[in-house]
Amino acid sequence: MSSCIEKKQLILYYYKELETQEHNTIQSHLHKCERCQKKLLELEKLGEILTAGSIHIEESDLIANRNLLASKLNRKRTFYSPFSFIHPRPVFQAGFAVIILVLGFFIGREVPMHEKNDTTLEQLLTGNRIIRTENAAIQPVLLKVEKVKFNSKSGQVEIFYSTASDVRLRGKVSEPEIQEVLRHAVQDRDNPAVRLHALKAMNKITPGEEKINQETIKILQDLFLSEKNQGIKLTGLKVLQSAGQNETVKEMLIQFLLFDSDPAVRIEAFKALIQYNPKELQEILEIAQTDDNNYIRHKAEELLQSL
Amino acid sequence: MGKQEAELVQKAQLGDVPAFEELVRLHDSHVLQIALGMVNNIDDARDIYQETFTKAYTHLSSFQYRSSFKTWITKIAVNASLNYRRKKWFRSRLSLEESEMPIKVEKSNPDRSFFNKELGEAINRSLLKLSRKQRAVFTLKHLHGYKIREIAEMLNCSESTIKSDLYRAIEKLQQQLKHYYSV
Repeated sequence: MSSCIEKKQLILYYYKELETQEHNTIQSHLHKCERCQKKLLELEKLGEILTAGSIHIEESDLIANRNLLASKLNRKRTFYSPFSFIHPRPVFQAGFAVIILVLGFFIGREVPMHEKNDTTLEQLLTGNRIIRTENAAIQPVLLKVEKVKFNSKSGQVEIFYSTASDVRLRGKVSEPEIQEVLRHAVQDRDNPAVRLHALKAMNKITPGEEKINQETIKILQDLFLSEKNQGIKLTGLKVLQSAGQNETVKEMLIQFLLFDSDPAVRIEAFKALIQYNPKELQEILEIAQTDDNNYIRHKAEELLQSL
Repeated sequence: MGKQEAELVQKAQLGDVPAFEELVRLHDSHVLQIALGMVNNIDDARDIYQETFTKAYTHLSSFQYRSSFKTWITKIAVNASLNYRRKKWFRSRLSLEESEMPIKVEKSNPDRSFFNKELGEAINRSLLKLSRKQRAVFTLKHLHGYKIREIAEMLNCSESTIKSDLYRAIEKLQQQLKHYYSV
């Protein structure tokens, strides 16, 4: 081997991680190359000071930890059987009985039907014509009659049927009616495309227009808890940024930065977070300094230095 | 895994707490060392020790003898250490909300100062510059002598990723500590 050893290879050699043949080749090169010998010596010196600097553990420390652990394990064992905490305490028993009674009351209670008499709705559902308003159009379609109740004394008939009504609503994203439907769409569990496009639309609220409200923030919070699609998460994060500086949003961004496994999501959260006062973020930046992602780490370092 | 240890694990899996405590005695020094290497602070390392063994006790039934008990417990300790700082931050925030006390962020480790105060602090600072994963890889490789293959298994990633993390960690440490050794 005439050329010098690559640093990566030398590190693997130092840690005895190479195959025998490769190890021997490097060893014979080291015999004749002073430059590589020096590099290896540097590694050995570094290794020595890091090993010498490692912390020693006292036996007393271990004993204290074992005792603490033993008491925790004993507690765990006591609480092992379900509801075992109820057995020894009459107060708990009485409380538990009350909870069961109250639950039973609510479960057994018949919930009355919503009997609001909305004539406009009836007109929409029973008519065949397309109903148009300034910004919406509804086409009622009768799907199936489920049940008919006829009162022979009063002559009243009550019909239960299902309908499918295609509705088209047009307007600006900032309009409250549109936002309401978009919020509903974001919660659609079955169709990720609907969620994604609704979020993309929400993200189009231009600066100066109404910022997203608390209700939207809450819906996004719920969405993030269960969302698996990273594209949707990223778009949701962008929507969050249009909320302006808000404590709930800040908390959510911090959670993303600290706990999300996807670097793209963490970067987006980090970018949004650094819009806040960096002095309030010092601890987060210190944690971010150890992030696995280079961009986050370097940017966090830079910001900390500027503080 | 030795026969005696396998018997202890079997007994512990059947709910024998003294058997589990014996397993703790066999491996707790190692676990505490791993935690210390990762978080650089004895108090935090103690927390990780507790979390590791409590988790091991709770999930002991999932141990299937595919690796040694030591590797299994090390894996738990490494993961607990990797998530520790983030969890600690959240806990400290909760307690702050309750007590309105200022949060104390650990910056240096007094336990290392016996060695050489200045160098000890420099080592701490340099280790803090590593990413969580680089630090885990470095600790497991340099201080505990695990093979790259084993580390890859513990951290659920490929051997080449571990190699490049190790390389980056060494590069950074060399850069930070070059004034403390002369060749």
